[in-house]
Amino acid sequence: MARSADSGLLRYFLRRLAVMLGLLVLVSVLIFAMVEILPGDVGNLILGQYATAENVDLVRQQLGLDRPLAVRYLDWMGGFLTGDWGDSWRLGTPLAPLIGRRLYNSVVLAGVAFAFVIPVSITAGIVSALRRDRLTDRVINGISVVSITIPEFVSSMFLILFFSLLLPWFPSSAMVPEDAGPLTTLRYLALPVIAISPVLIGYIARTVRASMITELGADYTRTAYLKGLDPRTVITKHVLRNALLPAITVIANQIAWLVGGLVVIEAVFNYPGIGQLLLQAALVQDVPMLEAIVLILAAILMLSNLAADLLYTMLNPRVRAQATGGAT
Amino acid sequence: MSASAGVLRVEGLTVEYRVGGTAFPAVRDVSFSIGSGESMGLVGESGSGKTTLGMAILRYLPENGSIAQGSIFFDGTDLVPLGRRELSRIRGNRIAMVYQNPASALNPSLRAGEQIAEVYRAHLGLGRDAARERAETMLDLVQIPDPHGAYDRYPHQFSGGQKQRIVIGMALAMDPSLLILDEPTTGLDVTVEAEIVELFTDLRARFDTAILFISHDIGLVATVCERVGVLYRGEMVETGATAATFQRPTNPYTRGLLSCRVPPGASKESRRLEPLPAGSRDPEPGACSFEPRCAFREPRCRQEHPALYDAGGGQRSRCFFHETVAEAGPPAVTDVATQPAAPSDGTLLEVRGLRKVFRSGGREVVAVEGADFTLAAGRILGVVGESGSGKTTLARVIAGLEVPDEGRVVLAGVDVTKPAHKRTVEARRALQMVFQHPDGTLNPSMRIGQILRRQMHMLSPDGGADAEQTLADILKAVQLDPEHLDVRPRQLSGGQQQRVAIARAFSTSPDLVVLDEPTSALDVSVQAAILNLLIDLQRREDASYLLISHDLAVVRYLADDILVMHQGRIVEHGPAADVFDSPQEEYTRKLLSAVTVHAGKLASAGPPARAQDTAGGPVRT
Amino acid sequence: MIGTRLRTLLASPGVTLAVAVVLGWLAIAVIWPLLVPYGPTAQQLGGRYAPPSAEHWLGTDNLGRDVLSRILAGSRSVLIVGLASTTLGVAVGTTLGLVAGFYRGRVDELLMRSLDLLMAFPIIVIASVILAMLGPSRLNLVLVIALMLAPYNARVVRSAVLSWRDRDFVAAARLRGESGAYILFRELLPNIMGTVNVEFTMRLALSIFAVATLSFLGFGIQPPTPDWGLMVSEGRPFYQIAPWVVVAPAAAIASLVVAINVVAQRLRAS
Repeated sequence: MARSADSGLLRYFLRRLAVMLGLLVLVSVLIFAMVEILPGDVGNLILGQYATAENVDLVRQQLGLDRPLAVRYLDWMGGFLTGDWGDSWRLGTPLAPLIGRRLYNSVVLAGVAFAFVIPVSITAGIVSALRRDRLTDRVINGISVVSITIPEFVSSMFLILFFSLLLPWFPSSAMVPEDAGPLTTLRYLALPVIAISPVLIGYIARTVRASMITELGADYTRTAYLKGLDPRTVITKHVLRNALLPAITVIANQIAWLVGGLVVIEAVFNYPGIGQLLLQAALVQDVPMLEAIVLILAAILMLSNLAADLLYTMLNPRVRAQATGGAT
Repeated sequence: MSASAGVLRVEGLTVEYRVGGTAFPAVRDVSFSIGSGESMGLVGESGSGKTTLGMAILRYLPENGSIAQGSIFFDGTDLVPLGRRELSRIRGNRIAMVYQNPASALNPSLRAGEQIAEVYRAHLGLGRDAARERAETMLDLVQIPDPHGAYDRYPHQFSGGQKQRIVIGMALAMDPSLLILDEPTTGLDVTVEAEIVELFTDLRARFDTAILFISHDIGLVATVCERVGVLYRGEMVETGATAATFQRPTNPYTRGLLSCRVPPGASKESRRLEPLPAGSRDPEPGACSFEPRCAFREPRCRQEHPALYDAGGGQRSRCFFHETVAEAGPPAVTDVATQPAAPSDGTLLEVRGLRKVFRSGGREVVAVEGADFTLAAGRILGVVGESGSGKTTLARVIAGLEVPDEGRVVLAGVDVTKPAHKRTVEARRALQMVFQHPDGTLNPSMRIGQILRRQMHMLSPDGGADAEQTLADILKAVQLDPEHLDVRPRQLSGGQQQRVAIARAFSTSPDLVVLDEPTSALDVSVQAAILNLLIDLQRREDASYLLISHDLAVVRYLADDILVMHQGRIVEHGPAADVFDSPQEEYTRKLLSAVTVHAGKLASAGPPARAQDTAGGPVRT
Repeated sequence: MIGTRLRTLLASPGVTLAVAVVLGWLAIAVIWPLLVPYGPTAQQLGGRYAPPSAEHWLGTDNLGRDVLSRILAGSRSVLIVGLASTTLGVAVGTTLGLVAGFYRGRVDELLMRSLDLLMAFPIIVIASVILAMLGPSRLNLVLVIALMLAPYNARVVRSAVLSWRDRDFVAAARLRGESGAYILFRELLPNIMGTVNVEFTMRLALSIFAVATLSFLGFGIQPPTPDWGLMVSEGRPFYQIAPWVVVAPAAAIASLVVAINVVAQRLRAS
C-alpha cells in the first residue's frame, strides 16, 4: 500500500514537472517576444542616436538580428540549454559565468534572509494567535501592518542613516571583501537582510496567525481538548500540523517578493547580486542579459513553487489522496 | 456529599454569552440529574441552548461564554471551580463526548487509530504499542472492519458512518461514567443513523455509561432515552420519563412540539398538521417565555415567571396551567383533511432515459442513470433517497440548472432538455423551484419587494398593471404583510424567508414546482406551517409538485406518488400508499425499516400502548 | 450605513490618525500650489545642502531646491498614479474574478493559471523590464502597475464569489433566465462590495509602494518632476552630508503607505 502511494506521488511529481517545463517554454517565448517586440532599435541602442544607417545594419547583422524571429528564438533557446547564453551587448562578455556568479551572491543573501525570516515570522504568527486580542497580539499585529507596507528602499535608507551613519555599527555597503570570514560576511549582510525582512515577516506571520486561529477554532481541536489532552499536546500535535501547511504556500509565494526586494536592496547596498545586474541591464537595455536573467528567475520561481506544492501535498493526507488518484 | 443521587447533577446552571459588553443568557437556571447507567434526552429547537448546556458540563465554552451561576456535580465533585489540569483528567476519561459532525471532529491529518490511542496514552500513560493494541480492540468493538489496517488510515478514507464509529470509539475508550451525545446522527443518512443507534444499544449493554443525549429529534430521543428534558429559550420547561412525557405532555411547548410533527405514516388525506404559532413578539421580561406562542395563555402568564411545578407522574412542568394542559391531551385532529388528488387529466412532465455524469479530475461520477418517469398534472411526486442517490441532480436537470448527458425532459409537450436561459419564457414561467436553505434562497443585498417584482417582470411580460395586485394576493396567500416588501432577507426568520421563496415560485402561477428539501433546514414547529401552506397552494393553483426529500415522513405526508432512488437509479415508483405499505424492492424495505427504528417508537397522536414500549429503555428492532 | 462605517473607522485613536494622514495628503496633493513657500523646481545654487532652518524647514537639496516644497508637490504624482492604477487594476481584477468564480470550468482554469503565472513573478522585476522597454511615462506606469495588481485582486474576488455562487438565489436567477452580466453585476457584486472596498484600500497601499519603488529605481517619474521616490534616489549619494534630503521623502512615503494600510486593516476587520 505504501509503495503504491509512493509511486502515485512520483507520478504526480513527474506530471507537475512536465507541466512546469511546458510553462517555462511558454514563458521563454513570452520573454523573448516581449523584449524583441518592444520599441527601441538595437543598433541605435548600442551605437547611439547618431550612428549611420550602414553601421546600424552592420551591428544588426553581427548580432544576427536580420534573421527571422522564430530562428532567432530557437537559436537562443538552443544556446541556453547548452550553456551558451550569448554575450552581453554592453560588456561584450559571455553571460553565463557572469550571471552565475551574481546568482550565487544573491542566493547567499536570500538564504541568510530566509534563515532569519522563517523562524521569526512563524513564531510571531503562532504567538500572536495563541495570545489573540491580547497585548502581545496587538503589538505583533501592529508591527506587521506597518512593516508590510514600507518599501524596502525606505527602510534601507533609515537603517543606513541609523546604524551606519549615526551609530557606525554596520557598513552601509554590502560589498563583502574578498577575504572576509563568515562573521565579517554576516556583518556586511546584516543591514540588507534586516531591510528586506519586514515585509516578508509581516506576510508570513499574518498567514500563520490566521490559519492558527482557524485551526484553533476547528471541531477537531475541541475533540482533542475534550479527550483530556493537555494544551501543549493539543497545540503541537493537532493544531500546528494543520496550521503550518498554508505557511508553506505563503513562503513559496514570498520567494517572488524576495526576488523583487533583492533588486531594490542590492541597488541600495551596492551588493553584486543578480538583482543589481538585472537593474543595470534594464536601465541600459542590454537585451540578451535581460532575457537571460528573467528566464533564470522564472525557472527558479517556478521550481520553488513546485517544490512547495509537493511538500504541501506530501504533508497533507487529503490533498495527497486527491493528487495521487483517490484511494490509497 | 450533596450529590449522592446520580452521576451528574446540574443545579441552577446559567450560562451567558457576552456580545459587545452585554450578557445574553443561553442557558437559564437549569437543574437536572442523571443516575448511573441512565440515559436522559435533552430536546429543543435551534437556539434552545441544548448544545451550550452540553458544552458547559465539560466546561468547554467559547471565550465570550461563561458559567454565571450554578453547579455541575459529577460524581460528587463540582466541576465549575475546577482548574485546567483537573478538567483534563476528567475529560475523555470520566466524561466523554460524541459530536454532531464526525467529519470535522476528527483531525484530518492524523491517522484514525492514533486519535484513539492518544486517549490511552494521556489517561493511562500507556506506551506506543500498548496504546495501539487497545485502540485496535476499540476499533473492532465499534465494528470497523480490519481494525489493524484501519488504524493507519486517515479520516477521509472512511465513510461518514464509520467516522462516527471512530469518534464513538474514542469516547468510550476509557469507559466513561458519562457520555454526552450532541446530535450524533444529524446529517447522517437514515440507514446509517439506524446502524449507529443500533451500535449504541449494543454498547450500552457492555458499558455501564450514563448518557446525556442532545437532539432536536423527538422520535430518536424516545427510542434512546428513559428520561427527557425539554428546553425552550435556555430554560428547562418539562422533565419526566420519556414515555410518560410524550404521551401526556404537561407543558404547552412539549405538547406543541409533539403535535406539529408529521406523524409517521400520516398522509395529507388523513389529517392536517398542527403548526406551532411563531409568536408575533418577544416574551415580556419576568414573564413566561413561551407565553407569546402559547395556546393556553392567561393574563397571569404575562406577569409572572412560572416555576418548574410537579405535574404528577414524575413529570415537572414550567407552566401555571400544567393540569389543564395534561387534561387537554393530544390536540384534536383537524377534520379539514385534504381531498385526494383528482385522477390525472394528462401528463405534465415526461422524463426519458435521463443520464447525468459529473466529471472532475479525470474521474467520472454517474449521478443519474436511466431515469424514466412521468408526472401527471395536479399531482405530487415525492422523490426519496439517501445522500448521493441522485435525487437533487435529477431535480436540477429537470429545472434546467444542469444539462443531462443523455435523455429528454418534456414539459407540457415541449422539449425542455436545455439550460434554463435557453428555454422559452413560457417554459421558465411554468416550472418553478423552491430551495432547501432559506438563508441562501434570497439575495441578501435586495429587498423582498425587489426580489418578487423582478421575478414577475422577467416571467410575466404582460403583467404590467395587474402585477401589484398579483403581488398583494400572493403575499397574502403565504401569510406575509405588505410591510415585508421593504425589508431585506436577513430581517426575516427562516420560516418567513421560505415563505418569500414560495411566494416567488407561485407569483407566476406555475404548472410544476420543484421542491428541493423545502423544510429540511427548518425547525419542526416551522415545518408544519410550511407544509400546510404548500398543500393549500397546490390545491389552489392546481400545480404539480416534484418533491425531493430525505425525510420519509414528509414525503409520505405530501406525495401522491413516490419514486425511490438509489445510487443514481430509480428503484421503485408507484402510488405513495403502495410503496410505503408494501415495498417491492429490497432497498426500499431497508430504507423504510431504518426510519421505523426511531420514528416508529413514537406516535404523538397514536395509541398509548405504543408509547408505553419505550418506558423500559431502548427498544431493539 | 456610511455613518456606522465611519464610526467604526474612527473608533481607535490610531485609526483616526491614519484617516487624518490620508485625507491630509489628499488635500495637499490638490492644493499644494497654495502652500509651497518656494517653487518645487526652483534652484538656488548658492544655497545647496542647507540644513533645516526657519527659511527652509526641511533644508535644501543638492541643487538648492527647497525640500519641503518638493515634498508637498511630490504628493500629487504619487497619489495620481497610485489612485489611477489601483482603480484600473481593481476594476479589471474584480471583473476577472467575477467571471472566473462564477463560470468556473475552463474559463476559470485558463484565467487563473495565467494570473498565477503573472503572480509568480516579482512585480518590480516585470515592471522594470516593461518600463525599460516602453520608456518611463506616467501612463505606462499606471498601466504596468494596474496589470500587476489585477491578478491579486482577481484571486481575492474570485474566492469571495465562490462562497456566493452556489447559493440558491443565484440558481433562482438562472431559472428566471437572467443574463450572465445581470447575475455577475446585480446579484453577486453587491454582496462582495465589502471585499472589493477592502481590496481597493489594500491595493492602493501596494500601488503607492510600487510607484515609489519604481521611481526610486529610475523607471517611474522622471526628473525634474518632484517625486518622493525619485527624491530619495537623488539624495542618496549625499546622505552623509545632507541626510534631510533623504529622510524627508522617505518619511513622507512611509506615512502615506502605513496610514492607508492601517485604514485597510480596520476596514477588513469590521
